[in-house]
Amino acid sequence: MKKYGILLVLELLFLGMVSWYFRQPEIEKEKAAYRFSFICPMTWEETARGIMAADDALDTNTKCIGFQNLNPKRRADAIWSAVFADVDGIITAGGSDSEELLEAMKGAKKAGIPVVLVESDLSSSGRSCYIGTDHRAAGMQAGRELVKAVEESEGTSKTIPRLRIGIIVSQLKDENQAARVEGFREALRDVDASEAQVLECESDRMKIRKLVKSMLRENPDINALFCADETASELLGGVLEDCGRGDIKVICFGMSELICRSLQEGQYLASVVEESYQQGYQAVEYLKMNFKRSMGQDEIVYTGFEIAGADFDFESWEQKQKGEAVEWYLY
Amino acid sequence: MVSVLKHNRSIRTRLLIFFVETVAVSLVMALVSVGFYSTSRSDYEENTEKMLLLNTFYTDLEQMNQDVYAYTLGGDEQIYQEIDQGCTQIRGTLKELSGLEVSLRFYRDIRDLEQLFSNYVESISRIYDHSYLCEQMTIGSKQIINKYYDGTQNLYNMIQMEFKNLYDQLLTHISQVKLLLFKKHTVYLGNLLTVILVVLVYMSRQIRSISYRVLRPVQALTENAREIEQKELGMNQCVVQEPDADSEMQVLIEVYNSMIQRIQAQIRTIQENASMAQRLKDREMENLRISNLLRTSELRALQMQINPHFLFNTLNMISQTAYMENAEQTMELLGKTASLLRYTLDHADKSVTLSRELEMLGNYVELQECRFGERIRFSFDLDERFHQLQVPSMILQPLVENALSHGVGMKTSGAEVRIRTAYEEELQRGVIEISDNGDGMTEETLEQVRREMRKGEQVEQKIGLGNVYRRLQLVFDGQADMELFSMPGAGTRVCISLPCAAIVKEETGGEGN
Repeated sequence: MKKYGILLVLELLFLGMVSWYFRQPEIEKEKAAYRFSFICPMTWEETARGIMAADDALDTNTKCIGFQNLNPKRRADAIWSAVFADVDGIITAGGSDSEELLEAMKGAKKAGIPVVLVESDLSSSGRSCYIGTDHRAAGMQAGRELVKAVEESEGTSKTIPRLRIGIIVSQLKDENQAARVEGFREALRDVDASEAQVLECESDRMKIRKLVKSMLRENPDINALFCADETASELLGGVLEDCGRGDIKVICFGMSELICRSLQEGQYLASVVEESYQQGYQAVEYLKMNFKRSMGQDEIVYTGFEIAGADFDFESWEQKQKGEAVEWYLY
Repeated sequence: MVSVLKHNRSIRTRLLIFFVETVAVSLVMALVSVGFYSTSRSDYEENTEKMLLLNTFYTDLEQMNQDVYAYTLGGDEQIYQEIDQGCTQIRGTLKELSGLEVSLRFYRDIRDLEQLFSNYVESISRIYDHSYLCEQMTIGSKQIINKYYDGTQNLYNMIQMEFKNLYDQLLTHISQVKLLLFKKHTVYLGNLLTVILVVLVYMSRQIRSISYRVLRPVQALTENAREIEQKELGMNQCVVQEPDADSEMQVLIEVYNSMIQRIQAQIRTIQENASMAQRLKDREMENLRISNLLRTSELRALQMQINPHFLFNTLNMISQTAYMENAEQTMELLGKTASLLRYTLDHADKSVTLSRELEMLGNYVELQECRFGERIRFSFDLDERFHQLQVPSMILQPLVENALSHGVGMKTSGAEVRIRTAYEEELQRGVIEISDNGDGMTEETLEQVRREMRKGEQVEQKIGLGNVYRRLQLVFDGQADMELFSMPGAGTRVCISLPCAAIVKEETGGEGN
């Protein structure tokens, strides 16, 4: 009987442990005291992870609303939805200055909801803060890298061969794209360089290949490319290989496995890598710190960037990217 | 034994405990299973209720939106009341939904939904306020109302989007809960099977133990009974007591063993009694035979007694005649003969000391010396240390008689008969030897004589070797020995060996030779 008693006690302990182990986790409802919305393309995983990390650290709750394609109207609808949901803050990207988008952002401001723009600015939106890269400085640095690379390859001669540059952007009306190009041009002011063409690819993967090949065909003397658009940066290496133009020096923006391979193989000279994670994290931080503060603040917070070369530690960078999966609200 | 019994229970107690344990374990397992099933069921029901609640919200919202449309068209106060009621109901549902434990994301979305709904209700109230304010519906006011209505529909669409999110989340949550429950059930099932296995193993051990404690002793008893049936009841045929056996079985085995032991004891007693009876019978037979021998001797003695009166009278007459004729030698011979005759008659069935027997033998020898003259020479070599030993009478004379008759009787000269006694200290035995230097016997004859002697057979009408041997065995209770040695042409020797340890200890001096 004693043995059965011991067995019963052990059994009850075991069942208790099983129930405890398989219990549903408690919901920390206090975290929903600060409700923010992050509205952006679904590819912005790194920024979203920065936001999630900030939520964990600062006890806030940010809804990540993602789009398959960045449609200004849909983004505006999502912002309006956040406004009518009376959220405590909105994080989104600038870039496009479509009317609906501007109207939605103004509506948020009117409702007393602060809007933080990340990655790219839109100064006419009435946003509370811009947190992102100083694109002008990034473009300038990219230009200096190109100059340096050319000087190194051609010796220390003061005069370097004429640079015939092709520029690829998503849309020039995007403030960040315009700023990058401006910075790049500034860097090459004292260098014998000329622009062959400025290509607007609208970050369309199908268009990029076609447009770039066409640009190279029309401008065979192009010996350098400055790619300000991250999507185009990924695909450029393959297009140049197809065209047999491995001689072209490429400076681009962004980082991925393809870009890293192109850097390691020498197809690209350098790539500007932004701190998207920090942008997301600092955006949440800003919103919490300025919770219920009066609007009208017009702040700019620049985050850092890195020039990645052939020796870029892609594995560490990739390791940092791997984290908790982002729970997107699909819009 | 007491401590062994203390730990042993009766069969009934053991079976009772086993039954109670079985029932208790089954009951507990059933209760735990029911409890577990109830909690699982409640989990399922809880999640089903969550889904119903959300559906209720959507249904009410749809109804409310339809009412808004109807109100926008007609401006019916009744409809507005219904809208108001629906609003209260939906707010209540939303409050319930916000209390659900689904996930932080769900909770957050409910909060957003609450705000969206508040704005939706506010936009409806704008329609109502405007309709209320406008006494008449003009086109302008209708346009405003339509605009407000569009606003409500925008908000309604946003609420629907949010609802879809909530619905998806709840479905995901329910599927997660299902998965969790499935894992929980699997673990529980594994645990239940393990418990059942453990309990089965333990119960089978219990059953085995019970059968061991009950059946094994029964089997041992059965086997033992069969052995007894097939074989004789030996010395060690008890059933081995199992220390772990139940008290009833122990009692049964003890009683059985006790019974066997008693039967064995009784058999031994009977056997001993039979053996003793047999020994008694043999002794009686021996006594009877000796009695017969004695009677025969007595008869002879009696017979001899008859003649002795005549002999005595005759001897007296001859002695007187010899005296009258001054025949001293004759008188001496007659005296010795009378003495011999008297000894024979007086001590026929008695024991005498060895010295007395030797004295009588001396008389006999003197008579024979007269008879045989120089032809036969008699010699005595005596060790008197044991001559006080009591011996049957008439044991030496027949031996000397035999030596004369069968040994040296036919020798014309140089015959010798030697009589010797000796005490062997190491063996504490007295030895009497009668030897002659006659013709001796062949080995066959010697063996025959030895056999007859040992059997006590009496071939002739004289008291022979067999008689002497038998009487010695009787008196000395088998401790005396008599042996015959002879070789053809080397004479014959009869050797008597008698135990005389006690006699020698008492001896203080010896008789002269």
